[in-house]
Amino acid sequence: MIDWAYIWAAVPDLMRGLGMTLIVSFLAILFSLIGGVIGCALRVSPIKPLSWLVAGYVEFIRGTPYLVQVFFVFYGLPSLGLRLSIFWSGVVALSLWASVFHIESFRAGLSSVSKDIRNASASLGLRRWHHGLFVVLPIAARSALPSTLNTIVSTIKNSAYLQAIGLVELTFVAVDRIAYEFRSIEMFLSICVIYLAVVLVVSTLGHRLERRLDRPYAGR
Amino acid sequence: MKTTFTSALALLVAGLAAAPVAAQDFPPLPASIEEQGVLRIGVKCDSPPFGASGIDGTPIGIEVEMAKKIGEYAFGSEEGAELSCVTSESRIPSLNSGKIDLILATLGRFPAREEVIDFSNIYFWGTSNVLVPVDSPVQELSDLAGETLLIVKGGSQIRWLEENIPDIEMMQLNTTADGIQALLQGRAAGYVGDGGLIYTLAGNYDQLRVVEEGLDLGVNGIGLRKDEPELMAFVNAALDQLRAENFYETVITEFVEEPAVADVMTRGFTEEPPQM
Repeated sequence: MIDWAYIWAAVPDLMRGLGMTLIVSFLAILFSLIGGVIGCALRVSPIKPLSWLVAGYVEFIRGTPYLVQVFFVFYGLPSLGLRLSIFWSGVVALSLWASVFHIESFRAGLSSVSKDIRNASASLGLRRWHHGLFVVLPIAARSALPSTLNTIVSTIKNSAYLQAIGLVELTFVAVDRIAYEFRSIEMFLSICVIYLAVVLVVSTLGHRLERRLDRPYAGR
Repeated sequence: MKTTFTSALALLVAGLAAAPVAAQDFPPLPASIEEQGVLRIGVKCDSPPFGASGIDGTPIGIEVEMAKKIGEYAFGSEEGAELSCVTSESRIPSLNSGKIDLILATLGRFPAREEVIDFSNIYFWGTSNVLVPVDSPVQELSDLAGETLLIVKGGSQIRWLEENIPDIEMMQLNTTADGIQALLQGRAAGYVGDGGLIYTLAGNYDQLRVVEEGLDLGVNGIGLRKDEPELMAFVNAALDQLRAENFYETVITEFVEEPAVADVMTRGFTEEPPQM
């Protein structure tokens, strides 16, 4: 039987955990999008060693478990002389993971712009940067948006792994209370609902953006 | 002749008294456990000397040996205990969700836990201690004011520390290994855990030492799901039998090398706790 009064009493703690989840996720989303843009630019650049470097990085992150990456950043980097706090270890691990998927999304978006369009721009006399900014970017962004949103949602959900390094985020709060008060169903149900609510808000905003971008220019 | 006969009888009686109690002398197991054919027991795999992971990955330690012995009392051989590793945070959910039948995993007995599970009689008591780097300025617990201490999630000492040491910050990680790793990397002033564990770790790591002043006198019991009186009676009888067989005196020396630590451990396992 679910003890609703217990859940209600746990709300302040859960909200503090949610606050940390949102902060760490927001920073990771921001840094990973920046990393994604830079990584994608390097990946498609004509300078082959840079492209290979990014390709290797993508394969490394995609090919290793996320939890191992979190432990690597928290426990491994200090051995290499870089000791980050729990909070920044979490932000860095989450950003590194998410940036890889953004790089691939953006690259897929770019590759969806056909060479014919480049020729069309040239025949219209558009300069190179005009072509990039006003033609390639709008098309590529639209193609990349669904998978980018997917990665953003996964970033929020994957922040739960950071409880393993002691970051007091939403899942940590739940697991910590369970360790003392043993109300597993109440706590896991609560955090499932909270994560779902956050993800639904982010997804709704994302879908609105998608619909907005789907409208023709003339309609705006 | 009569004297010889009397002596022989006395020897026989003494021999019988010292002999292990046969399975039928224990209270009956619940029908569900009998049917299952094994007792599923959760033990620690990261807390030497109580329970640790052996070279081949199987659990070893004092509580692990206890669990095997209880399995033997129940089903005639140590295979009667099906052991699985549990962490501090997972042990009670594992019990209450029916994955295991007993928790024999450094489980401290205190009121919040007694609301959700039942405890057997106490089988061990002891204080906890803090492990610090050898060059740490910390000499006593009061030196930890304002510092960060590492502990495993669900560790029972957190409340004591927060109530007794001003401005202490707790960094909670999943396992003892994680905690020691973080301590060696200088992420916190110390690591807190059960005394036996802390002294064993200090013996294993030259870079670490124990703060002698103990904290949070705790008592450990075997955890059972609520309202399982038959299993409770069996477990308590098994614990009595372990003491009667002088089981602890033998097994502690197998897992604890330091004589002083072995003495403390033996006292914790064989004597009644001081003031409750």
